Amino acid sequence: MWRLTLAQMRRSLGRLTAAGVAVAIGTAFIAATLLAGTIMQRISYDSITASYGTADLIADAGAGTSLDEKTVEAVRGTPGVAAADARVVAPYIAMSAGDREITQTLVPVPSDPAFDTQHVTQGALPTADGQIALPERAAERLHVGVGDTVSVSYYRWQEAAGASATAEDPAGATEGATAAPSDEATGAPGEPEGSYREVRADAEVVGLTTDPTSAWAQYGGAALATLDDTLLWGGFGDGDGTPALADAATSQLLLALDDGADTATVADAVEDVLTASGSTDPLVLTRDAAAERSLSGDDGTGPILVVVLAFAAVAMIVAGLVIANTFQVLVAQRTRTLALLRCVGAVRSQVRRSVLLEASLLGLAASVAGVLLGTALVQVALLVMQNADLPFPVPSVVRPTVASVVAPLAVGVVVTVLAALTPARVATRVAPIAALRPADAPAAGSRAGRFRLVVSLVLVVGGTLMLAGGVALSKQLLVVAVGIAILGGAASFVGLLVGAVFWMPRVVAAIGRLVGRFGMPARLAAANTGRNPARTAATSTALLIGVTLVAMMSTGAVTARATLDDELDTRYPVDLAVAAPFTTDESGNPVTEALPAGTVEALADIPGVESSATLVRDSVEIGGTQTVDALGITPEQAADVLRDADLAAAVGDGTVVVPEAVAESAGIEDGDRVPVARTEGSGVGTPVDLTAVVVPLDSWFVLVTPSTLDDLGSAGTLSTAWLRVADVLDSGQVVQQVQDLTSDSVLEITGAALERALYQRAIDTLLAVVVGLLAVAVVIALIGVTNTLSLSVIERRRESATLRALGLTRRQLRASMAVEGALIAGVGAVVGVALGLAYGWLGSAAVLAGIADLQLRVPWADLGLVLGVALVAGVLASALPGRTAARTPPVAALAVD
Amino acid sequence: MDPFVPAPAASTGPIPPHGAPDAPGAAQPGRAAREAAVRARGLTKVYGRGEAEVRALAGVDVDFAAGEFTAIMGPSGSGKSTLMHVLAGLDAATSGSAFLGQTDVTTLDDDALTRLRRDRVGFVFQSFNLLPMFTAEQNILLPLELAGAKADRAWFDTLVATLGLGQRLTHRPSELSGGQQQRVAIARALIAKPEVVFADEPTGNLDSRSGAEVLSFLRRSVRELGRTIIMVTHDPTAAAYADRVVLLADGRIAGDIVDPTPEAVLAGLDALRQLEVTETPVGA
Repeated sequence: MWRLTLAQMRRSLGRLTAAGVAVAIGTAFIAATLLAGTIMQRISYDSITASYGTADLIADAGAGTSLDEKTVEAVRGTPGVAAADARVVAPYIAMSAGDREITQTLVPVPSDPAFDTQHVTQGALPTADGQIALPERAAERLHVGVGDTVSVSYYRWQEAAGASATAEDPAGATEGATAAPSDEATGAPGEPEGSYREVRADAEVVGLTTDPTSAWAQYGGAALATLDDTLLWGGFGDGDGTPALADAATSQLLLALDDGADTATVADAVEDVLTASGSTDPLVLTRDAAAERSLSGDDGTGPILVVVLAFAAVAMIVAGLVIANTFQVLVAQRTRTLALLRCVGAVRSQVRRSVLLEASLLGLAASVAGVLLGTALVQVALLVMQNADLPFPVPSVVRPTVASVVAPLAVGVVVTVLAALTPARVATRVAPIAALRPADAPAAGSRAGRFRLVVSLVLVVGGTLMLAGGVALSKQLLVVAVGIAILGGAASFVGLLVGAVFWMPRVVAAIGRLVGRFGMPARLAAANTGRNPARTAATSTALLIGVTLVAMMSTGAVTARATLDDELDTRYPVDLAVAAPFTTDESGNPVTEALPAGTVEALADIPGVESSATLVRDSVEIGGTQTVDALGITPEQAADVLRDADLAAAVGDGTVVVPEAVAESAGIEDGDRVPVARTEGSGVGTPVDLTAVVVPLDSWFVLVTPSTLDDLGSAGTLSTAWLRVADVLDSGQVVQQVQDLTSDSVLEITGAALERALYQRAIDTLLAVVVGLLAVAVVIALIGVTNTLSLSVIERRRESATLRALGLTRRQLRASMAVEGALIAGVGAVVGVALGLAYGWLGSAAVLAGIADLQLRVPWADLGLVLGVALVAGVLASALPGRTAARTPPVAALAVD
Repeated sequence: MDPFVPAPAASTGPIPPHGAPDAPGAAQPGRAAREAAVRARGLTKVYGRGEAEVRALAGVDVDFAAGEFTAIMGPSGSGKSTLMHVLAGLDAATSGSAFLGQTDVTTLDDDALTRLRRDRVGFVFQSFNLLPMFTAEQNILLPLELAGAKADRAWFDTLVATLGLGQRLTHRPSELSGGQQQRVAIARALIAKPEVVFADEPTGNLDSRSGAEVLSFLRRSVRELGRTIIMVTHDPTAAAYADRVVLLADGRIAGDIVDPTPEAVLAGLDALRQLEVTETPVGA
């Protein structure tokens, strides 16, 4: 049987190759995903351990244990240990130079180059107290360079009866000239009487650094000082101002080993030393183990990997459909050979084995190609990333793991064999007598069973009900509802796919009838697609899967965007607000400051700002109890600058627009007449009765018209500017410019624009990634279309010749194939888009209906693109088979066999 | 009636290269007046090259009169199928000319040949070659559809009535018997009123009763509907339905029988075989 199988495979090499490509793409997807997963893990481990320098081991004395100098010395003395440093990080150290101030994380200069993490670009690392090395960016912000001095401010515990700090300060610190309010902060009860006082120390900038491995990126970079300075400035010191390591509450030690020292032995020895020093459960780990531990097993790649593998699974399912189709046709083509084999004594099981053996060989060969392809792709991606100068270390070479080789191979072979099971069964049904029939024996037809119909109907009906239930439930039990909806959606989709053989041919026939009006080639194409409904259905279904998912995702994305937009419009109608602060006058009464002159004009001139409004702000008492800010805005201004039209319409003379939260706390109902009075000093002015309009606004101010404010006796200070940005996605730049404009004044900038931009970008990015992943499935399906058409061309050789003999031109024949390709692909795409739209809406309803007012949207551009791509690809898929068909000589029609 | 008129070549031995064309005319003065629907002049067709060279047609001159039912006969490998392919514009000639009316089909490119086949030639195949996805009626109308021409309903009805297909028009080929399929194929060949219909072993895949039926339909379409049919066959009984039999041997015209009977055709074929048997030792 082996030899026969191989001989048959050689004869069908072209077909098998096309089918193999589908499997290869799928397995390449899996291999690449797994490899990317290990690389992501590597990168994340490397990023986490980047701050360890090249330390060989990381020791942890255990939670709650604070290392002291004695213990560190003891560890340093352990045989095999070349160097050891306690890991000290002092965050949020305030530093200033001139009138510029920043907060900066500070770490000690390592005792050994092995623990160096930063690259010195200018000057050197501090070697003595009173010196500091700054990250380049920090130096830039402070406008200092090597040789300049920065002033470090820190807090030091001061016993109530303590002597002057100045005299004792070892770093020559001077007592803070300006007493900050927190100056008076006292220690926790039970501690000795005293207070923390702000102290300033001068530090000379001796070096500038960069952080090539992003070791301190999460801290915004790290400045370096001596260990003593770091402890002191970090506030880790005794009451008398002596820096003490034990106060830093660090339990971690970085260890560098002597050359040739045995890691395990040293680790044990260090553990012993730590135990001897009083540690309760010391732990000495390698870098990777430490990284793993600090991620507590979850490095964030797990869920991503699962999601991406889910898409790979979709691609493999589609590939399986393509394979099943190919084998079905191969078996049909070989009917006579198989019958002959049966005639000369092959038993059914031998025929089945032959088909399955062929599938295994194909699956294996294609999977090997796929693994190679996937590995190569990842390697190329790594090369690109290396040249992209990313802020984290990227491995230079792919290291294939066992999983990245074995898993795709196994999946590829199993899927191929599974896909060939049905064709293998059909092959065993070929009767020996078929060998004796004339050439035009009908292809082994498979009549879809009643069982399939029942399964399909149960899944579709049940799934749809679950989906509907999920949507209905989503306002009460969001998580459960979404779960039910996902299950229902998946079930109904699987049902539709299982039943595709029942409905898809009808859809193809209906669309074919429409298309058939456009001339004979189209009629031919339509008739041809109806000839083998099962095959057409399977081919269209393969495409349907990918298209449905793409359409669903983009529908879901636009719907989510529109819904969230609408929600944000209602809750946060102002893109950007720039407000001057409230201050208090000498008697403690609130005073509204005006926006600095020219600010408003400058803000309005920022590119990307669509409209702006300058508002009078005052403090009012509403309902006789609640004090809130009142903003004066004209209805015209409101319509211009607010994103919520309903809210803008509520603004008017005689009304006060009250956010829900304010209304609740003041006990105001919508439509109430409420007294509003301006707060003046400690009392209020003359109240005016206004009609309250309660709105779902997430703010703590009320809106009235400027003339109402005048009536209340407001001074009319223009203290707030509202901006509306033209394109939300540009709001980052707008905010940047607003900040630049207002950097020299204390203006408060708030608004929803950045949040909008953030989530819109998140949705767009997610959509792009998902669509990219699903595109693989679509590509495989299109290979399936080409495959189906090629097989049809071979089967229809005589017909093509007859048509040519009867007067069909080559061009017409090619056109007919093109229409057929477009029809198969187009039906898959049209139905997929329709289903995707439905699933996208229902899914969005299940997820969002409980959170916000659902705004159903149709992503016309995306759907049009999907349809266009499918149609064009269908036509392109027909190009090669069409050429083959057109080359058929008309004489072939007269051939007897 | 003595229909067997041996071609001069058959009795005299080697066939003169350009002797045959005049023979039908000489034998049938009454038909000579008819215009030839199809003519071949010095037609040769060579397959392969060098050692593998096969001369399927070695200079054929023959006329097929319009309104006549002609059978081409000859032993296997005599070139009868090749002659038909070249005459019908299905295959290119190596040299010489083949005229359909005034058109030399050997000079046409593929598109022109396709249009010629579509508009001026009909085909009946041994394996029927109906398109399985179309009904009988759709199959019959196919050539018109391809040409984008409107069906002549009266002509369609005539054909359907003559061929007895009235009850079968909505059936697909798989629901028709072999004889019925071939009758549909004949209707398809005639629907566009072509100048000539080529039939390639039209009874080859049929039982003898269906075969006889099909042949009499072919004859009726010539006698009653005024069509021109050229049929290739190796069955003397089938050939006897024709008005005239052209015998082919070794790529040349080897005889011509007017108003053939099966016996006359058999005798003519025997004469050819005789010729081969006696010639072989001489030639060897």
